[in-house]
Amino acid sequence: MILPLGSMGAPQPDAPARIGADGSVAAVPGGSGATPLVELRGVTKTFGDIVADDDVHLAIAEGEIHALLGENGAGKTTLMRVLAGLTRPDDGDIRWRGAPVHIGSPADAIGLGIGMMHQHDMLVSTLTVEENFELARPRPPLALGLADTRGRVAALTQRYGIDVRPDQRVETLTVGQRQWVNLLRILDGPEVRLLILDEPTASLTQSERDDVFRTLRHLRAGGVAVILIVHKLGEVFEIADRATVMRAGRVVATRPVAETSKEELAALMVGHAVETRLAGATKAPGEVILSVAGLQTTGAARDLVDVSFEVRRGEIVGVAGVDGNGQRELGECLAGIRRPSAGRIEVRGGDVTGTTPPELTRLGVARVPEDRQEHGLALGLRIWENIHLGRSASRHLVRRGVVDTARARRLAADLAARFDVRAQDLEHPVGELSGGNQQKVILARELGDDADLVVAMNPTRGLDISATQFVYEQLAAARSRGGGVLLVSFDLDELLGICDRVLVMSGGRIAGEVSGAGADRTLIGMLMGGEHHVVAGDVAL
Amino acid sequence: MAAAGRMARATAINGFIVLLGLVVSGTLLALTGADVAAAAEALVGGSIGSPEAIRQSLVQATPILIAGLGVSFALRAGLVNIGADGQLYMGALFASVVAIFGPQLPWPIASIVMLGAALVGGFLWGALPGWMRARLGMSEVITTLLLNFVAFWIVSWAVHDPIRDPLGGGYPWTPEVPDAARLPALRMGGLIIPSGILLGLAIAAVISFVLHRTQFGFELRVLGDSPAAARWSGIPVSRRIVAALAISGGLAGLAGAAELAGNQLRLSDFFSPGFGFTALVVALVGRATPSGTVAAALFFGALAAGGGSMERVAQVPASTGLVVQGTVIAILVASRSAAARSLASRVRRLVARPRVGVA
Repeated sequence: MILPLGSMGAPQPDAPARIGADGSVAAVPGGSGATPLVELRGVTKTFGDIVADDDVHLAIAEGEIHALLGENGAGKTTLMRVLAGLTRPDDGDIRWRGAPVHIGSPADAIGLGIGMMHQHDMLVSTLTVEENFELARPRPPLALGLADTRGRVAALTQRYGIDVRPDQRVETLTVGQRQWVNLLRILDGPEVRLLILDEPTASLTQSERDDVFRTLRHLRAGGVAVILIVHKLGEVFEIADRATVMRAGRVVATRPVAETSKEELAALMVGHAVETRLAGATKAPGEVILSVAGLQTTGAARDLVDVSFEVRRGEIVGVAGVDGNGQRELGECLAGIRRPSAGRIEVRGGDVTGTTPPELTRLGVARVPEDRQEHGLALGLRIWENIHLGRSASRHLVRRGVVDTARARRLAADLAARFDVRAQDLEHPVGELSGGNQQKVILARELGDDADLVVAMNPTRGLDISATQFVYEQLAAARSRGGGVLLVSFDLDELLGICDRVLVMSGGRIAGEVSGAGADRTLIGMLMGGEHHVVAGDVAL
Repeated sequence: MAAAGRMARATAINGFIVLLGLVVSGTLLALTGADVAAAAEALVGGSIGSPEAIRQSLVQATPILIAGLGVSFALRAGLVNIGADGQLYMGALFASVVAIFGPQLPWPIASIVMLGAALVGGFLWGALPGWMRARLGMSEVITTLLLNFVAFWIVSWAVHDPIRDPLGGGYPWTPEVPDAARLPALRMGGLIIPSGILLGLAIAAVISFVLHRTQFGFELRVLGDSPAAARWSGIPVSRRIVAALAISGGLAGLAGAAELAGNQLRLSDFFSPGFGFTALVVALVGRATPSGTVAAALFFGALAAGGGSMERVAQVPASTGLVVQGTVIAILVASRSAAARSLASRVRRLVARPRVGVA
């Protein structure tokens, strides 16, 4: 089922009508004067000199879905870790159904009925699904037998309609399936009264997300309170009853969703109004800059099957699809780290099939990898060294194997300033930067030389609004100076918002193509679902 | 500025840890009924108390410094070389064969050729597990560890048979290294400095330069920090792995030659009392940095020399030195644990922190 995104205002029909009009935190959310399920009062948490949460007040009612919004570093995750017993606050107290409680450990939290699903999952990849369930429920060390666990897991997966076998290894699951295992593992424990989800939808496709939301509504109907950390405003209006916005460790406002707008929440988050879309291309696309013909791979998680397309100068071409349908493999082939078994990749008419990353960089191909922390950066190395990383081939920086470090530092400082990397200085490890600034380091490195062709894979994943906007602006800048951009993304809003055309991948093939603006989402959904035979006006098969 | 401050703080912390280690071991010693004051005097006297004591400490420090630098180098590329002992044996084997059985060359050519031979021996013994890791995907932790035994038994066989000294009084060892190949000790303002330790310091400087100023060293550090990022940026990962382990092994081999030509003079199958493993400890304690490795090697060298003197002077078993060593390592490791860090931050908060407001 594809839900219309961005439908604003109207509360979900099954939302309980117990949310009061008053959005202020001090007031009890149930207008009838009911005690909130959980209340945070004056919670403060510092790490060294950094104040993560500063005197935060927040009340959550039973049976509400409460969205928690804020830019990266606003203090949302720390606050939720306090509730889950993972972080001890320096100050402030917590009330559970009106009574003061001490949550000193995750066990305390679980005892109360608080379950938290983390942004980065805590599953052990090499174990099976049922073994991961076992881990969550410690038993005497000598107790044997997975049989009852297997039954429980099977029952849960069946109940929620998840296509996962209990004896399947976690490493074989897709990102979406892993999220489900995480969620089910929480629901498998003692009865959950408060469910905390830290960006559960960051890497999910639309239909996977719809399934999660349906489950959340179902839990809400049973009186469970849900706190949802989200970055996408559309999702707030799709699922939440109330929304609290945090900025710089403080609660800025709490609003009933029915009485606010995307624009207001966005402005509260960043402190100023933001553009949510980019203007389209100003001129007609030019000559072909990237040409892919008959690309095939073997031995990949999802092999490419006869993938052919072109990217022209002055256009942003999107690649949509459910995670695991060949987008990663396509990106890796184009990035020079996977060798295709057949087919041809040409940049400006020259064959670059199977060439190396430095050669691609020399040809002006910028590569923004999907996993910036794993593939894009060496987190323990300094910021300037990470900018130097992709530019080592330059003869001005390296002479006879010796790096001209003064020059490399100067160049990095220039690029960091141009790409608005916010750091005290460039001598700190890049791992100390926020996610948005880390991505800017990669953009500075890859786009700093006015790249001719940009291959970007999920470049805005997990970024806050202003960082996301910055990435869009950089991609648009590459387009307007006559470069070509290929943007792989799981976020359909993003693709339809900034792309001139969108290719849809399914099963390792290009299932179809739609134009960017005003595209039919249902059609894209069907193409993503493998409905190759769809015939419609703007589909080119 | 910030870097200098960090360095000063790290030095202060490490000094405190060493002190704590000595106090704890002293307490243990007192429990056995030994004369702690006499033992402490012997420890200090035997390690830094006289020019001879200092020479002895530096001699002890030389092989673990050079091999420790080798282990550190591999660690920076993310590779754990547990095979320094075997590489050291292979280096010493190559060195003794060339120096003793090769053409007799004049000083200093004989020394240089011998060190070169040791470098080649260790290099090959390090390149082999490097190749197995890069091409066959075998963990270097396992292969380097196991190759220690292979190297040891090769040397054991060699000194029992083909290169045994016929006039060696029945011991399984080689003849002595000729004078022209020995590493001399230098007199410097009343101190006697073995040239092997100077070689070690020079190597530390070269490694520091390679790691921080050359593209090759930069690529190794990227590889050590994130193999995936190294692959994405187009660094030839396999070749770098082989090179890093080969150089690591080469340095361990060089350590063997330095010990051979600067101290023992003969290769035997009791040549290394675990130099390669102490080198691993030295590298870990020194956090795989050249300067840290130098400091750790000098400290452990002094402990070894002082431990020997404790046994002779204070009738305390020399293994007490090992107790000190073990205690210091345990405290060092504990001090770097997450628990210790959180304790330290709590102490800092209590000591000096007015509440900081939101920026």
